[in-house]
Amino acid sequence: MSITTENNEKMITLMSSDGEEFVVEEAVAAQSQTIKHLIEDGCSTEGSIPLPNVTGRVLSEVIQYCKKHSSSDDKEEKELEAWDAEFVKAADDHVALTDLMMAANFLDIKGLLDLVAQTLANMITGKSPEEVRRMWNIKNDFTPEEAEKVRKENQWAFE
Amino acid sequence: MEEALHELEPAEVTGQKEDVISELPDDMLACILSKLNTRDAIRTSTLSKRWRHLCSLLRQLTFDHSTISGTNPPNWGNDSGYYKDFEGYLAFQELRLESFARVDQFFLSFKGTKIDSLSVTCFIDEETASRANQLISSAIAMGVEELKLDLTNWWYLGPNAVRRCFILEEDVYTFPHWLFTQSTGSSLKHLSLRNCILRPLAEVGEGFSKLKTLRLEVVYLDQVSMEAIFSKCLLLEELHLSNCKLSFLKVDSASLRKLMIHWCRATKVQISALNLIDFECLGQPSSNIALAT
Repeated sequence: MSITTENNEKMITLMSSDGEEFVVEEAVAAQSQTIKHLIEDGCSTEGSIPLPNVTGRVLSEVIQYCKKHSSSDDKEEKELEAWDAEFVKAADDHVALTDLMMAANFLDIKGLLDLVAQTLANMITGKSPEEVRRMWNIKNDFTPEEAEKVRKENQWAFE
Repeated sequence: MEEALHELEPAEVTGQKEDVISELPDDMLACILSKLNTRDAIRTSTLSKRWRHLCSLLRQLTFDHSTISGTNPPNWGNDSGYYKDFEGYLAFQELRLESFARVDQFFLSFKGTKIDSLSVTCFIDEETASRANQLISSAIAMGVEELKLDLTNWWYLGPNAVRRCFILEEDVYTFPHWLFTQSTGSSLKHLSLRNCILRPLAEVGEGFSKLKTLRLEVVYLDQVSMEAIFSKCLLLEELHLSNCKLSFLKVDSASLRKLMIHWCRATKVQISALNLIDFECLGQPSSNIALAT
């Protein structure tokens, strides 16, 4: 990959926690508020920006998202929504959505954080607590008495 | 007792063995819960001890008819004011009797200390009105910035039916504006009220001084209340008045940018708002409107 693009866009090198390097346009990297601030503070001038909390696999997904969102304007909102839905579905096959969510939070990319949170929320909607536990391997560590007490607190939500 | 298991989705069969979701930090789990309706969010409290109190981290709380009853309004009533069937009628009656109790119950176990917004759409009666006031008090104490209330005391006949039915004023809920004082209520920025009385407001202090948006729909007001609003809410940018019966409406605000007056049937509307950029008026002959420049 070359260091400048046709329109002389500045390139930034990001390094994942497992040492993988990604060269991206500054506008793409700046979709992340965290990286944007690092660039503003001059952290990108000397080599690559290390991202100790994000693995290469997750970072590669994040960059895909940022590329799309830095090249689209507000007019394409509908198209972008459809793209987001496809993106998160595909990402789910490669990385854990929880890792993607943590990365979106660490990198401060609000759109991506909301997208992943909404996707995880949609997985809960309409399911019984037992179905949710099965889906995510959550261990029910309540005694039957405790469980009953929790239910009683808001009995109506379980009817 | 646990609910019976239904069919498993593919992700559940092939999914990871570890419980990675519960390892997320509190704020991430709260972020997921914030995307759920309140009912579904509450249901997660029984998943495990990890999830037990996460609901208390929610800062935007919405209780509407479908959240409270678990069914969509078309199941128990419809816009034309008739019930689809007898079951719909029974469901409606049951909900009417206990809908506020459910909201109340939620707040009994709610351990949060700060909320940004509270929206409550439900039935109340004379008995529950004082508890609704207590709820508003707690919301104020938790620094609520956005408050949306639609507390109907009698028949709910669908979103547009209020205009058509006959409601005695003494049965209408009085919004407890006196709870908002300089020391308690000054964090309120957006207020939206439907089906209530908002008066007399003359003695209202600085509790509404940070108010930016005010939406009043089917609210019983008078000229004194309106004057108080304009003299106390010096940051008010948006005012919506819809189906609020007013004989004379005098709008006097230097901060107002958006004004909507829908079907208020005032015989005279006088507007003095230097910074107004968006104005919409429906159901009002333009000859009755005087715009001061």
